[in-house]
This record gives sequence, C-alpha cells and structure tokens, in this order.
Amino acid sequence: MENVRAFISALMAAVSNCALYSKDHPSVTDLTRKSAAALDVVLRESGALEIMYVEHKFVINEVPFSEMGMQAAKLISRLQRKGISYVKFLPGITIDELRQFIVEIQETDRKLPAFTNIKTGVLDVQADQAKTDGDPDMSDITSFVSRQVDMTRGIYHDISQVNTPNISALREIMGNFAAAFKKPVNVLRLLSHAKSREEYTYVHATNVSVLSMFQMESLGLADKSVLADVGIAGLLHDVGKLFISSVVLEKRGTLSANEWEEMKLHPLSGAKYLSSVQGLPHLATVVAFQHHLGQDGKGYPALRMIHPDQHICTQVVSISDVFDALRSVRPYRKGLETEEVLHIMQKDSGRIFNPVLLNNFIRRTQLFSGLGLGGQK
Amino acid sequence: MDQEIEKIPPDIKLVGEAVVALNVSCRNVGIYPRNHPAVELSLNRAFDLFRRIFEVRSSLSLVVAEDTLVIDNYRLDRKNAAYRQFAGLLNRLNIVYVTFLKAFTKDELYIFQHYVSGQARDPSSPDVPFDGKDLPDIQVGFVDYKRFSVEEGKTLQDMPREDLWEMYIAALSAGTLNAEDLEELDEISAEVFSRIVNRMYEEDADGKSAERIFTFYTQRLFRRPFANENMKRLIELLGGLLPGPREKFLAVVADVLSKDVREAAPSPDGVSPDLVMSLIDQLESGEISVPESLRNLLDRLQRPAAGGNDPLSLMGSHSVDDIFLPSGMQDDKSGSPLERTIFDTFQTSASDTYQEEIRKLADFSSPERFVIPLARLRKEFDDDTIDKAFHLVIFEMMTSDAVSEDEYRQFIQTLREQTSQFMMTGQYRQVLQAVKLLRFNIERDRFADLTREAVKQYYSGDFFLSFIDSFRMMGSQVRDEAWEFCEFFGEMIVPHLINALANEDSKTFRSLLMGCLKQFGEAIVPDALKALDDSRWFVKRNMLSLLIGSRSREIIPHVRPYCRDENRKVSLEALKCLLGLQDEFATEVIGEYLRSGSEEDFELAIALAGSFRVRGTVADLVPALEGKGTTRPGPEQKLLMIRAMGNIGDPGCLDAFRKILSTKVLFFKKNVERMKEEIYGTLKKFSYEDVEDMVQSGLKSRNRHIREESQRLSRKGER
Repeated sequence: MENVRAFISALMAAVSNCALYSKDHPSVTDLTRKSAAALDVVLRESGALEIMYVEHKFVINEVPFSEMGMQAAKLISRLQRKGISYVKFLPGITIDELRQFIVEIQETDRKLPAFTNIKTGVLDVQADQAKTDGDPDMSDITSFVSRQVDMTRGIYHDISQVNTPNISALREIMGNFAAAFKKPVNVLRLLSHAKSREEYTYVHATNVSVLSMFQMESLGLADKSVLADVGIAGLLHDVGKLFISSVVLEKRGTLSANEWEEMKLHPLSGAKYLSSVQGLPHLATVVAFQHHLGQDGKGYPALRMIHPDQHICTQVVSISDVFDALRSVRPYRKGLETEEVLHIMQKDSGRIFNPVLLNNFIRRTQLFSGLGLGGQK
Repeated sequence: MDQEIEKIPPDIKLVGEAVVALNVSCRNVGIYPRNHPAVELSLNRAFDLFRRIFEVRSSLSLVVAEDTLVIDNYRLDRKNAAYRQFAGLLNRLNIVYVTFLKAFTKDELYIFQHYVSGQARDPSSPDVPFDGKDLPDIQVGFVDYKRFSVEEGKTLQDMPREDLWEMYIAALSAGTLNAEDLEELDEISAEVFSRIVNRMYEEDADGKSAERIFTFYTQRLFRRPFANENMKRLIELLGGLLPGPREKFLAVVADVLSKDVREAAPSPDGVSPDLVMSLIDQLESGEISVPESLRNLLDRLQRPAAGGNDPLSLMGSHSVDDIFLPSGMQDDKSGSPLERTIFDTFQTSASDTYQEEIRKLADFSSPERFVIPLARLRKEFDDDTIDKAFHLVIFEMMTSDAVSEDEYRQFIQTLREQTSQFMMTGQYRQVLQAVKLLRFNIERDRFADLTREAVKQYYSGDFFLSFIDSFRMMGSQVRDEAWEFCEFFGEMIVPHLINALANEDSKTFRSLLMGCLKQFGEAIVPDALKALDDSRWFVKRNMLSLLIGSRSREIIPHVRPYCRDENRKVSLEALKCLLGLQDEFATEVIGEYLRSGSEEDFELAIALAGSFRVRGTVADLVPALEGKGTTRPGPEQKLLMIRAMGNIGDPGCLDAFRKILSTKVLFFKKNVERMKEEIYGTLKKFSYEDVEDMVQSGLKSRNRHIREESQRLSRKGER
C-alpha cells in the first residue's frame, strides 16, 4: 500500500505544480516520472490499480480503507468534480499518458478525455453527486425550504448523536440550492424563519448556507462544486456550538466572563471536529475556525502563530451569519428589518466585514427587498 | 422514521435492548481492558439479553442499513442514537450483516466486540475482514467490493439518466433503497419509468419485483394531495406500459388506493374530471375490480372542487412575483390559454421600469456584476490556496490549550502529510511554519513527548534530502524560499547541501546550491574540505568553487595542491580560490603558467591575472607582451594581456605600453592600431600623473577612438 500512497502523493503534487507553476514546469515532469515509477511497482505487483470511492471509503483494488490520507482524498475530490467515482490504471500506461491525465484532472472546466490505459467511470446511483444533479421541486418554495431545513436538522442530529455528518445529505442540500439559484428566484424567499428556539440552529445554518452560496454566485462564481463547498462551509460554520454546554448556549442573560470564554471556544471546537471528518471540504474547517476573527483579525479565537488573512469564503459567511442572526427573532429581542440590519452591518465595514463583499451583499439584498418581492419590507 | 417492511418481530423490544447493550459493551471494550468491571458488566448484560432472545429463536441476524439495523425485515428506529451508533460501527467495518447463533459464548462476544470497537486494527491499514475461525457462532458478512459494477468511460453528468434510473429501480425492486431515496422516484418521467418496467417485467418470473416497484410508485404518487400533475403522470404511465405490467399496475393502484384513500385527498386546485374519467376507463377496460373505497374517491375527484377549477382564482392566490417563478407554477400557467393571456396582460400592463427591474433580477448572472476579478476569486478556491489556509488553521489549533492529546496526535499526522506535499510543490515557507510551530510547542512544553518525536522528522537526513530533491526540481522559481529554508536550518543542513553539490551535474542547480551555501560563510569549510578528498574530479571542482566564497585562510594549505592538478577545471578553481585570498602561492603558479610555453596555460594565466589583479604577475606579463617570453603571443593574446595589465593597474606595465604606442609599422598596421586603442582604454585604471604623457599625445592622434578617450582622460585629469 505504501507504493499506492507514494503514487498518489507524487501524482497530486504534480497536479498542484501544474496549477502553481505551469504544466510545462520541470517539476511536473519530474513528479510524473516519480508517480509513474511508483505506479509501475504497483502494477507489477497487482496487475492493475483500481481506485474507487464508495460511501466515504476508499476501495483500492477491491480492498476497502477507511483512511488513505489527504492526498487520496484530494484525488477523489478532483475526480468527483468531473463526475467520476472510479479510476483504473492499467499496465502499459506511458509517462505521456500519465502526464496528460495529470494535466487534465488539474483543469477545472474541462471534461476528462478518454485514455488508453486509464479507465474512468461511475459506480452507481449512490454516488454523492447523483443527487445534486436533479432539478428540485420548487413549485412550493416554502416546502422546498422547509425540506432543506429538515435535512439540516438531520445533519446536526447526526453530528451530535453519532458524531458523523451525512455528507451525501449535505451535498444534496447544496445541489438543491445551486439548482434554485439557476432560477430567478428571490433569495430572501429561500430564507426560513425559526419557529422555536430549538429550531434556530438548523434554520440559521441553512440560511447562512443559502446566503453564502448566493453571495458567491452573485460574484460570478458558477462552479457547482465550489458553490457546494461554500454552502457546506456556511451550513457547518457554527457546528462548534454543539460542543458548548446548553447552559451557556441558551442563557438568556449576559454571559459571565467564564461563560463567555467557553462560548469563544466554538470556532475552535467546530474546526477541530470538522478537520477530523473525512470527506468534508477543508474549506469548512477554515470557515468554522475563522468566522469570528473579523476582517481586522481582532476577533476570536486569539491567534498565536501567524495572522492569516480571512479566506474570502469566511468573509462571505460572516456577512451571511450576522445578517441572518440580526434579522431573526431571538429570545432576547425581535428580528430586525432588512434595511436596519444592513445599516448596522455597514458600520462594521472594514473592521468586521470585507467592504467590497458587504457592498455587493447590500446591493443584491436591497435589489430583492426593495422590489417588494418578499423581503423584509 | 420507523419503517415496517413486513411485520414487527414479537421479540423486537428485547432485540432493541440487546443492540443498546451491544453498543455499550462495544464502547467499554474499546476503552477498558478485558478484566475491567465495566467490560464484564456490559458483556454480561448483552449476553443475558441474547439468552432471553434465544428462548424464542435459534439465531438473530442484524442487517446493516446505512444508519440503522434491520431485524427480520423490520427496520429499527433510526432516530435512536444507540442503534445508529452500533450500525455506524458495523458499517465502518464494511459489515453488512452479523448473525448470532444460539451457541455463541461470552468470549466470542468479546472477540467480536473488540474487533468492532476498532481496537484490533490500525486505521491506516486495509479494512480487512477478520477471519471468523475463533467465532464459530457469530457469523459476519462483509461488503463484497468485487460485485460493484462500473460504467467505464462515463461521468455522472453524461451517464444517461435512464441507465441510472434502471439501476435505481432495480434497487427499489430488491428493497435495498432507504426511505429517503424514494424521493428520487418523483424525478423519473412516466415515459422512462414505463420503459424500464416493461424491460424488467420480462425477466420477472413471478411478478413480485414489479409488484414491489408499483407499490412504492403508487404510494409515492398518492402521498401528497392528489392533483392534476399526479393524475397526468398516472395516465401517462398506464399509456406506456405493456399489457402485462399494465394490468399488474392497475391492480396495485386499486389495492393501494383502497387501503388509504385519505392520503389521496384532492388538492385545493382539484383534479381534471376528464383525467379521472380516463383512469376509470382504463381500470374498467383492464377488467380490474375497483374496491368501493377507491370508487368513492374517484367519484369525489370527478366533482369540481369549490373554485378549485376556476383558472381565474390563480390570480387571487398568487402574488405578482410568483408569476415570474418559472418552476412548476409557470408550467401550469403555460398549460392554459387563459392563464397565458393573464401572463401576457401582465407583461403589457406592467411599467417599463418595473419590467426592466425584473429583467435585471432574472439576468443576475451578467458579468458586469463582478466586484472582485473572477480569476482572483477562482484562485481563492483552488485546492492549494485552501490547503494553505487549512494548514494555518491546523497550526493555530495545535497551539491551543483546548486540544486533547489524541487530537494533537491527529494534527501531527495531518501536518506530516501536508508538509510532505508542500515540500514536493516547493512551498518551503509552509514547511518552515510547521517546524516553527513544533519548536514553539516544545518551548511551551505542549505534549512534549509527542512534539519532540514529531519535530525529529524535520531534522532528519531524509527530510533534508527531500528538500534538495524538491529544490532541484523546482529550480530558481523557489530560490528565495529555498534560501530562507536553508538559513533556518543553519549549519545542520550544510553537509547535505555539500553532498548534493559534490554530486550535482547540472550547472544551474550547482549555482543555486552554491548560492544557498555561500550564505553560511566559513561554516561550510570543514565539510567542503572533507569532500575535497573525493577521487572524482568534478567533486573536487565543485568543492573548490564553493570554497572560493568562504574567505577562510584556513583552507589555503588544503587547496594549494590542487593548483597543479592535472585536470584544468580543478586547477582553475583552486587558483581562483587562492587568488581570492591573495595567496602568493597562486601568483607563483600563474607565473609558471605564463612561462610554461603552453598556449592553454598562458591564456588561463592571463585571464586569472587580470580578473584577480595579480600584481605579482606583471614581471612575467611585461616581457611576454614585448615578445621576450617563452610564449610568443599572437595579436589576440596581446590584446588580452593589455586588458589584464590594465586591470591590474600596476605602473610597471606603462613602459611596455609606451613602446607599443610609439611603434610605427608598415604591415599589420590594423593589429597595432587595435593594441593602441586597447591601451588607451585601460589608462583610466592608472593615476593621471603616470599616464599624462600618453594622454597628451593621444589628443593629437588621428585615430578618433584614441583622441576621444584621451579627451575624457584629460578632462578627468584637469578635475
């Protein structure tokens, strides 16, 4: 198995170098040779190398592995973006063929061509993406939204009860929302209102997810898999709160200093948890960790090592997070009007929020709410 | 949701308790040793429950559905955390079923639980099924990955939906779909569905599969308030089915609808009486006996609902923006001429401004919306950018006091994988950050043993070799990061770099390595001198090149022997090395070369003398220029000598220059003129007083180049 790992590792490094430098960079040639050498050993031992991803398990030459490492996960993720869940390398594969494969899987906008000695394909209807390709029933937006919130509730229950989110369900929600954005539907109508305190977590998560995907889409990002990752990051940004005691989480009054310290742990707890779940995009971990840092980095958790810039997805999720939180009814206050919310948020432009993104969000939201299409006005 | 596939097993309560007990004991087995009371207690509890179960049955099979367990076709409640946890544990190990036979012992149970708890296996190893030789009475079945079918050459996007649906319907008939998966049924068009079912029906000897498919389909179809859409679908499906399956389907429809007609309550929009009539006709023509309850329902559906069938009521129940929703609603509207008229009326009556705003909304994917360049946005989401951000988050989490030892261990593993990838992609700063983090944690005594163990990897020979391999591959593009990397590791990395330099063929990479090593100054000397003993000429050459930059006088005795090495590349580097340190020995050797009579040595000596301004060589250069030396230089060599003497700037050369300037020749005049020009070009290297006479005479020269050069020198002298 070490040779399979070495093959995948060199292959993925070559893919990265294609993107970081160029496909003609000497390092790509060198790493292609290295991966070919490792593959050669595997092919001599096993005749062929077949890699499948079934129900969040790697199956290498029909042997399942729960854990194959980050590079294998990245390879699968790259293939999945091209709608592939199965790849088989056959004896006789040439360095040129492997190199071409590397170049092709690095390209995001292109379909994978046919190769003589590399067979790719799909497994069955259970594959994650199958569910995201459908056109969801949106004849009744309210029930459409409510279905998504129900699924979110299921995901949060899974996390709190069995510690594992249903990644297929996550992808399905994102697929549904991505499909919804294809229609000229007022995004504010895709938001839901929590009917009870208990429901707030799921409703808020779903709303943040929708708003974040919407923001990204409105910025011109149309790649379905990227939008799905943004949505997942939005949906799980507050997952760390599941690890905070309910006493603190549901307290109506002001938090004591200790309680506040506990509350401030939720980005870290969320990131810790998400980083341990195989099959989730790394973006979800990044966003969960950074979403209270603020644009100026002065939020929490306090950083010890370096001061990284917030990822753009975190900045987008932060906007969605605060917007939805302010317009939602909370035990201690009523929900605010959209206009009021936007006005409040504008005061924190540049400090908490990225001004460019906030402007975009305000313009988009005002367009929807100002037309009387079902926003808060 | 509980789903009763057949009937509820009578001992289900007991079985449920046993599963809970298995889940508890599995956890305990995973945490405590075999003889711990908690293990004993929980095993006893599970074991006793099984004994009670075996009073009524001889074996118990637990079949693993994705997130719950199925016992005798009865699915345990998936909302129960214990069921789900235990199913999850089995699922993770690829177990599809486990059968406990009446004779199983407590020891067998322990072995099984030990395996299930994951204690018996390394997570990075293959999930190999355990052999059941020690468990004769607990039978375990695993997923057979050999039986997975693959559609080669296809992607999910281009795989015909019908193929997918065929697989889906096959799963439906086998009863292997989850309740949630049934949602997908709605997506299959009636045409495709009937085509697939017709095909499958031919191979379905007893018709059981078809019956199961039809039952699910019908239940699904009549699940919601029954509307035109469902009825249309039903009629379409009936139209597409062959006589055999059609008859079967109608029988199932009659059966399902008669069981629970309330489910099929008509929607407020009502159902077209024509469609209902059409269904009744089909039922009658198929000679299907229609139960009373179904007949009543169909009668009810035939009658127009109050206001429900009036298309004008659409206006009353939909807001303006709904009209613009192109989903199912719009389809409905386009179906009726009256509705289309209403829609058209809206388009003509709404103001231009309003329509423009609506158009903007519908067109919100136009490119002018971009506020951030798309390329930058895409870059933010590329795998490598996200990996870097993820890497930083892992760092921060590793510094946190709110991380357990197990979590920390996991992070170290992640860090190892990431740094290996960063190394291969030339992102050395990221690698350095990992090392800095570990050192930071060592200082803080954070999981000290784990951290020290982890940090060792970053100071190992293999690690430095992987850096050098990567640097060779990545080349000058990553030079700055590579230098930072070398600087960070300091003298520790020097022997590895020197070793790489010694053996390096590529001139480009040699110079990159040299660039790195030169930062270390004298620190490279011991290792470089050691490598100088190597028998291979290029190793000597590379080491001597490196020593040039060390500026350490301690190398002189070691280098001197190589000045006379038979390999010219070696001796050249040795001479350069010593000349840089102004060692007299090198001057002597250059003198020897100038007098050697070998043209090659002669030219080499001239070049070195000039480059290193070796004054000691002037005594040999002057006679050579005057043609009195061992080697009689040609015109080109004389030019080289003049240039070298100019570089040295020793006034001892000037008389030789004057002689050339005063030479008058009839033949080869051009060569002499070139020498004179070269001399004037070098005079700036001398003090003006020493060369003033030549400058004054140059001002009167007929040679324009000499005159201009003299003018420049003269102006300089006056200043």
